[in-house]
Amino acid sequence: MIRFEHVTKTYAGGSVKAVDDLNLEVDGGKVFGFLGPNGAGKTTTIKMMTGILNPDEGNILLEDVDLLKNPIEAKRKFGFVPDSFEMFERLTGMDYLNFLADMYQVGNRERKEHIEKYLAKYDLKDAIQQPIRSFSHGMKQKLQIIGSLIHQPSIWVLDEPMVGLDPASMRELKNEMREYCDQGKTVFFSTHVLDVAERLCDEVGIIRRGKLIAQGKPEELMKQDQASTLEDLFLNLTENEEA
Amino acid sequence: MLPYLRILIKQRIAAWNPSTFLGGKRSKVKSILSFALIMVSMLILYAMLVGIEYLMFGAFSQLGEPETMLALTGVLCTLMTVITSFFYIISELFFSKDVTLVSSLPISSRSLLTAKLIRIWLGEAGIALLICLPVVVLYGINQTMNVWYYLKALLLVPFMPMVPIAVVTLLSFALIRVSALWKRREALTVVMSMLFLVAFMWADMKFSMSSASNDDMGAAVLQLITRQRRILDMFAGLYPPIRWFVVALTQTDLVAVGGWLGFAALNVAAVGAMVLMLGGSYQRLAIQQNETLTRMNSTAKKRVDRHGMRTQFRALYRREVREIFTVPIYAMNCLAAAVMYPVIFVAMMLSSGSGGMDMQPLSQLITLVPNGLMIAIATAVFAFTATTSMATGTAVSREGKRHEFFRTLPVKPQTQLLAKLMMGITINMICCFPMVVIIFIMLPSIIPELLIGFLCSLLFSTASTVVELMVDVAHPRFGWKNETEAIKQNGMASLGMFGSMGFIAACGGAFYGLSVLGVSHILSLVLLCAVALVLNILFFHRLMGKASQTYILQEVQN
Repeated sequence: MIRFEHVTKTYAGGSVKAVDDLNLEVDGGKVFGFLGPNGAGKTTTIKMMTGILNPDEGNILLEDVDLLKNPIEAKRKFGFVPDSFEMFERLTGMDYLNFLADMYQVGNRERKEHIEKYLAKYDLKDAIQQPIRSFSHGMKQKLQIIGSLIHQPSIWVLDEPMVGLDPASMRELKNEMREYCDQGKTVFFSTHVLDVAERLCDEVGIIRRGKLIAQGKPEELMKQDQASTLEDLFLNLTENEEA
Repeated sequence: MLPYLRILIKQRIAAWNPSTFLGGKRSKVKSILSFALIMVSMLILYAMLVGIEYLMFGAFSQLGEPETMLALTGVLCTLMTVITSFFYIISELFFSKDVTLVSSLPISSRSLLTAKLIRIWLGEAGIALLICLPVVVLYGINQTMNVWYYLKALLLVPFMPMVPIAVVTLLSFALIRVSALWKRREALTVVMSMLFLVAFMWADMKFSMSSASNDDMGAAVLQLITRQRRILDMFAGLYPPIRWFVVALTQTDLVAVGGWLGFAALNVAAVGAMVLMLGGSYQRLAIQQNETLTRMNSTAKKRVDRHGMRTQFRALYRREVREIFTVPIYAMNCLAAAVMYPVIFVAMMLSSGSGGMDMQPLSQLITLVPNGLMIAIATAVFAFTATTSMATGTAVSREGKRHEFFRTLPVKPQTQLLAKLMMGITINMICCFPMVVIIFIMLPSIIPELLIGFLCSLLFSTASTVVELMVDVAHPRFGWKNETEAIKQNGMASLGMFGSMGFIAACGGAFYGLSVLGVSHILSLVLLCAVALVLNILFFHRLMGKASQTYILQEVQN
């Protein structure tokens, strides 16, 4: 379960509110799609819930653990796939996975099992001993996905996870997300691919200028707004309010 | 070529902007104040250099050869450019991140090299002017020279770094060509860079010594005393073109014009020859260096199924140390002390041993030095050697955007900082180790003093290391684009390093003060070690407390 309580984050000395009094609750066993136009505050929200940014106000609870009061415990609860790979280019893929497993204190047997399972799943076994900088964007993305699941977290956070993935890997990821939430775990991801969000998400939240403007099941929201697709709903909400 | 050169220069200038230079999220006033502090520290260092030059100029004037100081400054400036720019030029030419991007642009390989060399030269020319101008002005005042003299100096000094740049360029091409033949080319590049530097310094030392011994030192000194030979000739013997430089500056006739033209032409020709010779193959070599080998070696194959579990601290510590050794730029900047100081030490020892390997007289002389003083000297030497490493002072900044990743990890900030601190202490010890071994071999009579000195030095170097880390925690510079920027263009880290050197110097001053007051050497050292120990405890407490909280709350500014 993820809960945001009156979370606010400002930039540029307080003049720009990237996230404005955000209240959001995502229950376990759901795939939650976090949608919004560019600069709406999606990445800032995700960065706050993963401890990368500090909220100016409010609380964030992950599985009832307060991220601000008990950050180490809270960080054990999630696995995170950032939107870009800015790290450890000189390590091999396997070094990176072992490093992450050490950070999350995953035992030998368990890490071996997870690494082998996911390497086979994402077709990365042959490249895993190569330096990361020789990886393509998609391969790096797959590596991050595997790394984020190495400790089997109860919350899986992904920032724009579909970018750069080939169709097969994209399908694999979608299946993984579905399987993950079927185990009672929470998947929280941001995306601009609205077709995927419509088909995959149990619930979506739409953010615009730092404020949550809609939250609920995609079909219910579409019904309310008399939109035929999630894309129509998204454009209605974001563009109409813009106008 | 010009647009690329313009971008390179702009980038360099932007690096000196107070906000980008210092990085981090801070108010404008704080940024400017910190920048001013760095500038003041640099000015103090510069004032010390000017002071030394002033004293030496006075000495040469008394000998009746003030122009020799011009020659000496020129020779030293040339040699220092080779040594100090060695790693810098290699990293700029072959490890800069723009190689792949620029390779896709319609610009020839030769133009690329030319632009890069011009950019490097502009920086080095500025440094040469800073070093030489005080002496030029002193000479001008002393000899009541006219404006034309100063103008000539301004036009001539900037040429000085060109030959050293050409020499280093040639060496770096040779290095990259050889290392490209091997699988582990980055590690090899680091090792070979160090070896090249050692070889160069060694060759320079041997050349200086042989030019002195061939003439029979005694006879040469006699010639100097009886004024049959000028000191200037000795320096001109080390680097003949320096004579043209002195002639061009100090004389006014056609000979001066010839000297000016000769000096300028030689320098420009040196760089021009490099561009002509190496320019065509530059881009290919640079790309090759950036390529990653995709073959799996046998060790890696064995590692595939090995998943050894480590504690969080061990995993972080291992990563920190590995990073220093596997990123060439970091290795060259953090481990240079492990190579340079031993070479300088060996050179000094050999020079003092009458140019031979016979250490007997020196060993005997050293036995006359009191044990306490010898331990103190060893402590100071090792502590100073350790402070020159930038490993800890940039440990947080080097995370760059990865700091965001570290913030997501379920690891206490204390554990993360402790791993960085231990990495720093390890690198400090690695930097000192070759010196310890060399002194062991060369002066076996002082092994106990040396060992005690080494242990004492850890107290001082660790204290300064903790402070450097805390400075980096408080003022990290995450916004770097390449590793060279991460480690070399970090104002606060430089300030931390100078601060550490100042701390060691202050401890030396305190030791001297206590000795003057009649406190025995041993007791003085014990007292200072006790102070260092207390400082270590206090600093460590601070690091694990407030600094660790600051560390984990630092945000990466996009």
